[in-house]
Amino acid sequence: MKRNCIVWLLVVAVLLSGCSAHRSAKKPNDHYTVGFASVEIPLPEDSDQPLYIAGYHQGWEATGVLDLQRANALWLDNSSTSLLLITVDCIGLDGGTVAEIRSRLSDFCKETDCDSVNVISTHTHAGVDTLGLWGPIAQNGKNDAFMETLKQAAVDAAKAAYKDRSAGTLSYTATAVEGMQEDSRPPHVYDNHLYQLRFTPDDADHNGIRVISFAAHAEALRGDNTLVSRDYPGSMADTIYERTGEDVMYLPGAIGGLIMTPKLYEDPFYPIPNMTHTGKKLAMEALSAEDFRPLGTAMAVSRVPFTTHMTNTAFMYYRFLGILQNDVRRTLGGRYLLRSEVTVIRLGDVTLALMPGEVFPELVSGTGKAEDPEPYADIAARYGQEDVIFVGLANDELGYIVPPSDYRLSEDAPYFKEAEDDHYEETNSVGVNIAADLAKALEKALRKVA
Amino acid sequence: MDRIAYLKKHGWRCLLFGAIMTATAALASWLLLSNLYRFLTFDPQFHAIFAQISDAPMVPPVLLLLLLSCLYCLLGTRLAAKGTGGRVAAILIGIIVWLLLLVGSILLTKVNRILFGDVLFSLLNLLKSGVL
Repeated sequence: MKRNCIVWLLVVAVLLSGCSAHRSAKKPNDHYTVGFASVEIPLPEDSDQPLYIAGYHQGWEATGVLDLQRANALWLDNSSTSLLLITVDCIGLDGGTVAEIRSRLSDFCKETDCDSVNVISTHTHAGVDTLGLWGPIAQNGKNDAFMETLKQAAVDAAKAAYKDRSAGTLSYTATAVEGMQEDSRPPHVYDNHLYQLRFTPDDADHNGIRVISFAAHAEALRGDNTLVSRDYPGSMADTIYERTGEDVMYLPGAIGGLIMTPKLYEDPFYPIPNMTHTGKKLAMEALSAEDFRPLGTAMAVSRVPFTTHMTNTAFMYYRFLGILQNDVRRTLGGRYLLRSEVTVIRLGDVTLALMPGEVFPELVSGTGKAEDPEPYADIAARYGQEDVIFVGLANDELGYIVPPSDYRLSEDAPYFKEAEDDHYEETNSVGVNIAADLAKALEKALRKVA
Repeated sequence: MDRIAYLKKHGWRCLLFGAIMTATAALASWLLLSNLYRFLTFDPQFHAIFAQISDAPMVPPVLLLLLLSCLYCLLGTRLAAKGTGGRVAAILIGIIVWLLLLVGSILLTKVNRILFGDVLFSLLNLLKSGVL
């Protein structure tokens, strides 16, 4: 009996050491392996459904193309952890669409040991409707053929990025940029930094890559535009590529509230030169940045799902009609809980916090009001993470994430009419609790990568 | 005539009545829901409505209707055994129960995970506030 116990203990010990040996076999490299790819999203030629321009008006159809929307993908690994960042030039992608892209990549992820797939929208207000909210009222504004092409482009870009990978070093810088943002809603707070992660390949045959994050709505073309375009992120990427041969991925920052680039032309306003010039100015800011510091190769990823109370009845109608595809569940008590996620990626001592909506910048830096959650930057600092890039519209699009202290609804028709004194953003938000629920999920994710 | 004897003599009528009630309630629920849906979406193409609400879980409400119809049959036979007055009462009760079941099944139907009843009451509030 005693001998049998000893034998079983030995067997268990061998099995456990085998497991830990397997886990410790994948040690991080002393370099990063990164790949990039970009795939165009053409407009469907023979579709019966219209193509609506998303962002401003219901039922405005696209009248032409300035530059086609694209899906860009970045593969990043250190041999121990690997992930994909996929950006799509569009107004936003709901959780259901992101889930479908991930599902199409599930076999690929098993083959390549990809730990995390993240899909981020650039929020261009000159793209084809991808949420369904900009068709005629109560009708789905999405074009099925376009959505299929978009999802496949995201998948193709991801696979091509994996094939493109090469070894190199990653570096980081943050540059203060003056005069390229304005905030339409008080308090006038925004992060004026242009953040860059720059990949320099060891092999000269591969392009360098810049991941650029800037907190301004991609709507330099403004509201009368009906041409399909990537807006200023596209112009910025093209300028950098023309000058340096580097590929560019744009990530939107905390743009809620509503942060946009200023008009560089007034009276009259020229939308196309405004968009082109805005992109070029930001490109020059990026190219003139110095003080890139190399990043260590320690990587960590943490994805934390969370639920929040959805009180926006307009969102409820659109979910009922099947236009929005968010994960919504009804409780027995009659509340609707919406499920979303936060992902935190640590690259050396720099962190990317991927958030599922348009966050008000004052939630990141702090409002000083008791009703609001702890500033997101302070939460990160408590876990030793000082350099954090807050990225919006990641893996979902929940609309604006408004500080509870400034959250106001119309008394007679909440979510259908704005409350007085400039409270438009509440009509496009999930509910008042999202800021606090997001803070809790962010803290959990930050704790896991600390 | 006592209930058992009545059942033996007229049981088939009760079952038939219950089955007709269940079938018509289910069909009426479906038609009423789809017409209301067409009103909500302003969609003139009727065939699209059935595609849109094909994931509406009509089975649970129909099962509930079946169960309650069986219970009604038992109550109905007891009343029917009391004579003409009892039969009239049974029919009236049946109609009231049928209407309650119909309304209840519609309100409890989920479309795309949203309860139809929640949407309806929200729309009524918007009508009251003058937004619609």
